[in-house]
Amino acid sequence: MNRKVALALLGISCVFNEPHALAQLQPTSPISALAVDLATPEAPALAALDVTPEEITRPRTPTEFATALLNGTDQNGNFKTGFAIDFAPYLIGFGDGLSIQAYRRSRAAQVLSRFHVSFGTAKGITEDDKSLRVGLGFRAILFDAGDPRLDAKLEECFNKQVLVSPNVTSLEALKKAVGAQRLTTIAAAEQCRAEAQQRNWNNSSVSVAVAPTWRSPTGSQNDLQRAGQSYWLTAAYGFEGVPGLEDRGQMLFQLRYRNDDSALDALAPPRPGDSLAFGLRVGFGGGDTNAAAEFAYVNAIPDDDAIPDDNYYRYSLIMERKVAEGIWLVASFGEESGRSAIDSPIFVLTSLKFNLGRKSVVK
Amino acid sequence: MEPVVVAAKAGPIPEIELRFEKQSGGYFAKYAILQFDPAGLNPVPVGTGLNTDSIDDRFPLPGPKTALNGVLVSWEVIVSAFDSSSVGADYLVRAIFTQGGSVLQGGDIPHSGKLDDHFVRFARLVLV
Repeated sequence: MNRKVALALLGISCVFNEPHALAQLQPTSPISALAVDLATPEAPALAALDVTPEEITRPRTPTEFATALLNGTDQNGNFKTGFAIDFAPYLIGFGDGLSIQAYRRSRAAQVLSRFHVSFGTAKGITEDDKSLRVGLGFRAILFDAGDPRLDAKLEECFNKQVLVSPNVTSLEALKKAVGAQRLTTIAAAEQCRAEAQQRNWNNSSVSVAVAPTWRSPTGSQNDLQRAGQSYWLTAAYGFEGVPGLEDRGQMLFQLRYRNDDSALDALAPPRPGDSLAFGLRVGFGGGDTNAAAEFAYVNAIPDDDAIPDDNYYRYSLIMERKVAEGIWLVASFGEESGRSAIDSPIFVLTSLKFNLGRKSVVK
Repeated sequence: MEPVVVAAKAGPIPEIELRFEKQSGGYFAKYAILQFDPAGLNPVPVGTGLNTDSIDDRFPLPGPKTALNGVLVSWEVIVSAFDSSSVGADYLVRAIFTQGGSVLQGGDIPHSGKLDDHFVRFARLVLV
């Protein structure tokens, strides 16, 4: 076992929109390849395929759903490159008849409404790679204390929107006043949702997801074979009722198991097998300055019994400061260690960068 | 030309009810209903409410019944999506005019659109 230790800061770099230092270690760093994303993915099918499509179709009606499926295949019924769809079957089938009162009364309706199915394809487009990968994902949010439909404060905010009827003297005046008020009303609703999101970002929740995948080396649907399965369990605790932390703190726990993890195939040398990952994050934020501490542990289980399991861990500390709308100055420090079988460095990773994305990395 | 709802002079006081459909698990709605004289003036409150409470969204038109011929009834509604991902989803609000429990001729007036929205609709009531 060859272990190197990087003892001190590797340097502080100030970069714009460059990949995170961890990303530069791929694909030879197992931790990077198996990094634990501490949230159940919104579209598990796509997460299992490790693809990020430009557009995920999210149909909300049976018609939109049928149209999306038609758009996802070519004239011969073959899936198009990067086709992705995510939908809530209960809402598509029964959403029209689900009133807000019924939703609030029924826990079953809440869970069913939050049950999503995702489907994605990724197809090679070069002569060297004509393979087709297909993923199917199921995601259920079993409990969500941040559900906006159950948020009394959000409803209270909506209820402050102003109806003009009480102040008019004629029907013509009413029509004109509503026309003049409409955009203001819509902006007020948006503001209410933004405040609710700020208030509820850290609320407790429990979600599970599973995503089987298939692969066809030739790209033909007829040659599709099972290519593993991923499972996620994520639980978040929002410190509800704890003064000082209720709106600012969150503890996030995730367990992920990947059967036939394709990330292990990408290692040098390839080591096909399964992986079990555990992650824990404690974050504090909600304002312009946020901080988070993360710990991730990965157990890679090679198919070849002669090769021992590998256990890796990574921890990192992240601090960020909002310098302008949509721009965060992010400082991170982390360490990861160590494969037992091959070169297994301990990395000290430090970076200072501007994140130009709209969202905080802590939330 | 506004929609015309036909009611019977001999029947009981007509009622108006707002029904909020295509909710897909819920949007917030807040409304106010007014009754104007045939010239569209002198508004009288008919009712206000929310779709989220358990109070009926049905109101009798302010009488006396003999004075209802030709009146204009308006309903102003604000609909807001609880969830950002539901902005742009369809909503449907129906105004149902009834008399003695039966839907009147021309008395089912739908209004559909995309969340969020703020709109007003109206109809003229004619007694025959």
